[in-house]
Amino acid sequence: MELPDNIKAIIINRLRGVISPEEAATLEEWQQQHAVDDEALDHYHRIWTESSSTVRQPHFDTAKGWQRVDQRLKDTGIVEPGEVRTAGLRRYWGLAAAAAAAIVIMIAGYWMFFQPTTQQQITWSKVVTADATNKYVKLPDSTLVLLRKGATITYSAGFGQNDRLLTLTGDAFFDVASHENIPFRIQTEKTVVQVLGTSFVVNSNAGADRVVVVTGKVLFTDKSKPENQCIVSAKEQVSFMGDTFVKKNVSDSNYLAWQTGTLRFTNTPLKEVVKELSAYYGTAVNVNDTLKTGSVKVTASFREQPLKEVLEEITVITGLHYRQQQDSMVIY
Amino acid sequence: MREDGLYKQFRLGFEKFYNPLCIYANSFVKEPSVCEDIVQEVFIRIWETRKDLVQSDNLRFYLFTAVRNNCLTHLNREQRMTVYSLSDIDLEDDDTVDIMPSVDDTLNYHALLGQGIEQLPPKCKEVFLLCRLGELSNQQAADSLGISVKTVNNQLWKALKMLRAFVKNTGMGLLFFL
Repeated sequence: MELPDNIKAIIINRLRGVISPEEAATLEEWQQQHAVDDEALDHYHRIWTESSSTVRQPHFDTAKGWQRVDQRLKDTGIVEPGEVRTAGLRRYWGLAAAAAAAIVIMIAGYWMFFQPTTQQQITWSKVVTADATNKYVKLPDSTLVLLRKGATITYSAGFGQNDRLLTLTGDAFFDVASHENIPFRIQTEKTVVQVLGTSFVVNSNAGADRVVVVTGKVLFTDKSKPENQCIVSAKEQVSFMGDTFVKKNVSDSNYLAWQTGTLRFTNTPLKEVVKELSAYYGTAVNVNDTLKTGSVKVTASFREQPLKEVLEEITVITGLHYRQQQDSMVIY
Repeated sequence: MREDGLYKQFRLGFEKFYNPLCIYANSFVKEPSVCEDIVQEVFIRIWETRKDLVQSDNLRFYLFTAVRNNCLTHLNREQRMTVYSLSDIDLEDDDTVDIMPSVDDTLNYHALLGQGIEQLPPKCKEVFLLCRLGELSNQQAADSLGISVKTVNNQLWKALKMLRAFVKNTGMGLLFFL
């Protein structure tokens, strides 16, 4: 008899002893409908339980194996008998422990580029730069901005009164406070992002501007051709490259990794993993692909761990090795 | 936790998993001594680089995943065989086959079952062994092999079906409920 997938899954859960009451009810109902008695199921159960000890018949000398491992660890001095040390605890450091970034107030001739939407003369502006580490900034309108290390925002003293306009270089995450009548706009060198919703990420760099929207909607406009624009909705990302908008669905959750500090990989090919690690840690991580390891997949998550620790974990999982090469890392 | 206390735990883990891991390795790599080297190496690396795993719930998952990957890497280096990676698609493709016991009336149930498992199609056997040796959850087994939970279930089911038919064919089935 060919069983439906859900019944197979339920029977296997039952064999494993992790069957839920709902599943048990479903199974019973199915058995009644198909006049399947318990005998067949019992037989499967027996095969399942017996096979555990069948496959475990000891063939290998554990004591001898241990002797060798123990000896090797002692030879390399990694285990010194009797010595007391604390186990390698993971060190966490969060954004909170960051060094304060500089807040500079300066007169800007910079605003000449702007086309202020109001008659109000903008006379000075605030500049916030995250120079040492990621930095949280709360704007006068209660909008929360997380600047990635190296990013700068500039906004006028009148920010929030009848316009909410700021300029951005680098990458930032915005959680925009809603003010019905005052639009929130972000200018980068080439584009303008107008907020129609709440939270999103803008990456602006020499190559391309990218907006990733977490919740809500934004309007993404080409500065040189204001008719060239694109609405980006939740879970979408749009890159502005050359002079066109390219839209993609956000499939990975790691675009926010630098904001949340968590990197998560689910069955991700190693090639992809090293790309993301390179971007996140700002250190080149490469795979030496003589072994065709590109097909190796990684499932793991890392929370604010140093790159070395992450690589150690990945190499333990994959059975590969890594080494430092000048200022890059190579997995081989 | 003091280092020496942790080391004791590490030793316990070794004693618990060494044999199942070597058997698992042996399903890929046919030389037992190489299997032992691979498994020992995995433990050494865990102690050298990831002591925190010793107390972690994930230790089992790590061990079995690392051993399998190291075996595949070894086979790759040896160039003895092309290493396949499991994928949902090709697992769905291979059909259930009839596995036939050799005629030997002296076999006990365990030996018979062992013979049946030995004869399972390679990929189906791989999934079955991982689940029975490692006692991994479906999700962990799926993650470890890089396939979907649904595929894990289907392969386990296939293995059970074949083994049941196999045991029944020998007349052993009759002894079940005695």
